[in-house]
Amino acid sequence: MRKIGLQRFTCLFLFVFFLLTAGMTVSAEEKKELLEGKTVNINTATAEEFAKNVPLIDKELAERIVEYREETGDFQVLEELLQIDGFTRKMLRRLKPFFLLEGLGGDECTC
Amino acid sequence: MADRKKISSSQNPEKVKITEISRRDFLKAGATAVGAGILSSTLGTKARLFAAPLPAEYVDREVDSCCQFCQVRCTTKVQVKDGRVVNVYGNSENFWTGGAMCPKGKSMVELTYSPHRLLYPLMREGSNWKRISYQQALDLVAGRILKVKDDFPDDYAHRVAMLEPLWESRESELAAKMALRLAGFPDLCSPGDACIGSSATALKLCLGSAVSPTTLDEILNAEIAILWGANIAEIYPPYMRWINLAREKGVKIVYLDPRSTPTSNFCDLQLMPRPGTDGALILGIIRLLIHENLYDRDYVASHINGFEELAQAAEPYTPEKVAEITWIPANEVVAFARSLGQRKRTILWMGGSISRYTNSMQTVRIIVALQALTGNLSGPGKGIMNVQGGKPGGDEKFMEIYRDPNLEPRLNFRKVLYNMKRSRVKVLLLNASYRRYPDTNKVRKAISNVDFVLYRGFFMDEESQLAHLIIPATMVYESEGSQYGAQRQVVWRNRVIPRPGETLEDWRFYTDLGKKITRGAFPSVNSAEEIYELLRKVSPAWKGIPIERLKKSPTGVTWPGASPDQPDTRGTLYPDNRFLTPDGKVQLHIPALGPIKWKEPKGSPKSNKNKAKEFPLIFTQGKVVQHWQQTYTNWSSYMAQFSEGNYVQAHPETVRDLGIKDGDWVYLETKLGKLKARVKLAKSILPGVVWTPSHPAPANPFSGNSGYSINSIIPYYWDKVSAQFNGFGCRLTRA
Repeated sequence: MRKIGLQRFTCLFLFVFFLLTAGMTVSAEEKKELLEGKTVNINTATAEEFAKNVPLIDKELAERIVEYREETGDFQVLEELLQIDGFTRKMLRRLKPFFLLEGLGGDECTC
Repeated sequence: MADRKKISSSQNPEKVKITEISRRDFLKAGATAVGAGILSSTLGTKARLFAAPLPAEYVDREVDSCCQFCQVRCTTKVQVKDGRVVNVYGNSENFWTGGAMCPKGKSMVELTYSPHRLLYPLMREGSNWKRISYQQALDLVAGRILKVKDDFPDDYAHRVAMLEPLWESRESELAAKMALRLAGFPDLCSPGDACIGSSATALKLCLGSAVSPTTLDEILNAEIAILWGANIAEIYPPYMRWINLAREKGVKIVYLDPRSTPTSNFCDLQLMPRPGTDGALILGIIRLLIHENLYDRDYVASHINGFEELAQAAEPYTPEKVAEITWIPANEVVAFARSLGQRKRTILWMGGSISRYTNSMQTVRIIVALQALTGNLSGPGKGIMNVQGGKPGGDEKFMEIYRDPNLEPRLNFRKVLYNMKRSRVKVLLLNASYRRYPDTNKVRKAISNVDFVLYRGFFMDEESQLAHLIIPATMVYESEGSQYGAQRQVVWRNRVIPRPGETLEDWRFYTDLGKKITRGAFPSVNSAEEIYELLRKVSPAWKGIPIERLKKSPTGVTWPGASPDQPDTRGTLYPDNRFLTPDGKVQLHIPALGPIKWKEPKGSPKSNKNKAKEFPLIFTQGKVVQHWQQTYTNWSSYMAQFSEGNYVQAHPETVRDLGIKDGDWVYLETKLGKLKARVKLAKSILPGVVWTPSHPAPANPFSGNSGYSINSIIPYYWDKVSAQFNGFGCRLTRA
């Protein structure tokens, strides 16, 4: 089980601040989305919550995230998002602060 | 539903009858005849021969070995004449088994020399197989893996995967992990998610370790031993000696199972809850203990986090509500609860069946809560046992050292399957049966999308049909290495005979492969012993278990052992009730699991009226004593004589309105499909529940073992961790 979430609001603010001031290629629309985004628990959020709160994620991508989670179990690491069609490394870099990761490992085995 | 009172409890006349027989048998059985006695009770008189060594004049030499099947890990003596294994019998000095072993282990003598065994690498050429040399085969596998790296230089990590287990030895598992992880491929899929992953995970969350919290010898110090879904006489017969010894000491044996089984013969009381309702029953017991102040307040205050949440969760479960859910009469729920509250030492043995439901992690958390509430988690005669498991820990540092520095996080089986379905996985190393998973047709279809499948098997079975290359594996007498058992013991197995043809031990194959695909990073090792020593060098927990110590012990060494001089540490894993959680307390409040609650298993006919109309019966399945899952015991003619292919056990009330008689052919149908089976009618199973053995498989030469793979009709239901195999809806129709 991993947790991302400690002082997440501070991290989110600093991240967005850094993003906006570091000269990265971010469109005006993306800047607005990033500033208005909210953190969601990636292992419990609904498709609507993803689409409503997380920047750059539209309804279709949100549904694919939920479909992946339902089919394969809790996300163990955020990098798993890269398995989902339409989720790019660039998006992962930008969106990490918007995900709270708290889930169960897939297959503890003692045999 | 039929008259439940008659069949759901200790009042069951069938149950009373078999208990009487068992007591008579028990009195007859001397301590030295325990092994043979158990086997004869489960398999008939033919099994009496199992425990017998051949006389010296028929034997050239005898080698210490162990059985590779289940986690009882019976140590054995293998007898050899003219270079050929002629017999195997249990090592009578084994502390846990007393020399008993079950027919699965015995079947290895026949399987070793099976005419159906694969002995040379085979490469698929269209619909034919071509024999090639091992070196050619090895180069082919290594080439395919390296090509993945060339083809996907920035995105190769999840394009090579392996389906474990590598039960042949711990060293094989370590060699495979080193080979793939050093090459940058993290996806080795543990079998836990189709096994006891959910109970192991729940134990770890609650107590800090996934292994059994205590060892079997503590049963002798208990007042009550609860076998919760633990059909020991059928699944782990060598352990029955401990049940017998406990009974001799006056320990009351309580067994919970929706069927009467061979274990019923040895218990004082059997409760028969509806499958998948164990959590509700325990919450009812907990409620009563709290209401009647029959719990250990001091222990709760000092050792438990989450008691308030537990009390709140248990409150709705009145005896009447529990009776409605579980089909156990309310007065029996109350009596059982009070007996637990009034006894001081209760040990609880969890069967693998608890892990077969989508509510199993909650159930295990509630079991931990029950034992904690009564102060029964740690100490003499107390604790929880998990019939499977026991793998010693302490290899984290090893795994950290032998890996690619940029290794990506590992994906579990479901995630690998997701990638296989999308044709992203290019190479699959198939070391075990893919049929272990539910909806096997879905799994097979996904694997057929993989470009290159290597199969490390023994026979032309279902897995070989998916393979592009087969490199046959050695069997148990042809290799050496360490294995571990449910009592946290590590055992060394000696090689008995040379490996036949070009079969290969897993550790050797993965060592060879690792040297080819890791660009010099694979360590210079050339034997199982050298791999074992690699682990000992870096892992403090293994320092105390040198190979020499293992080789001398007829039982194995109980882990952990910090130094070679330290005696075995049997009994509780948690002395002084200090648990391996961050604050040393039992954790019942676990955010990742959500609030404490009981839910119907997914697909249960009781969860939805529409489902109940279509599939009104409750499906259960399980092992029988002579078979190991759906794999190679099916290739034994000796085991076939005790097998009957697919059959379905049902109560006469269940089929009364269908005009089905005992022995009729029926269809067992689920939402995924149907299989044809004979019906066995018996009052020893709850009405409304059916049970079928899990081992039959289509691809083997013996009619007794052949049949439909039941996992092909088991829906693909999972909890957060594990697959579900029981508790969903099904129906019977005339065939």
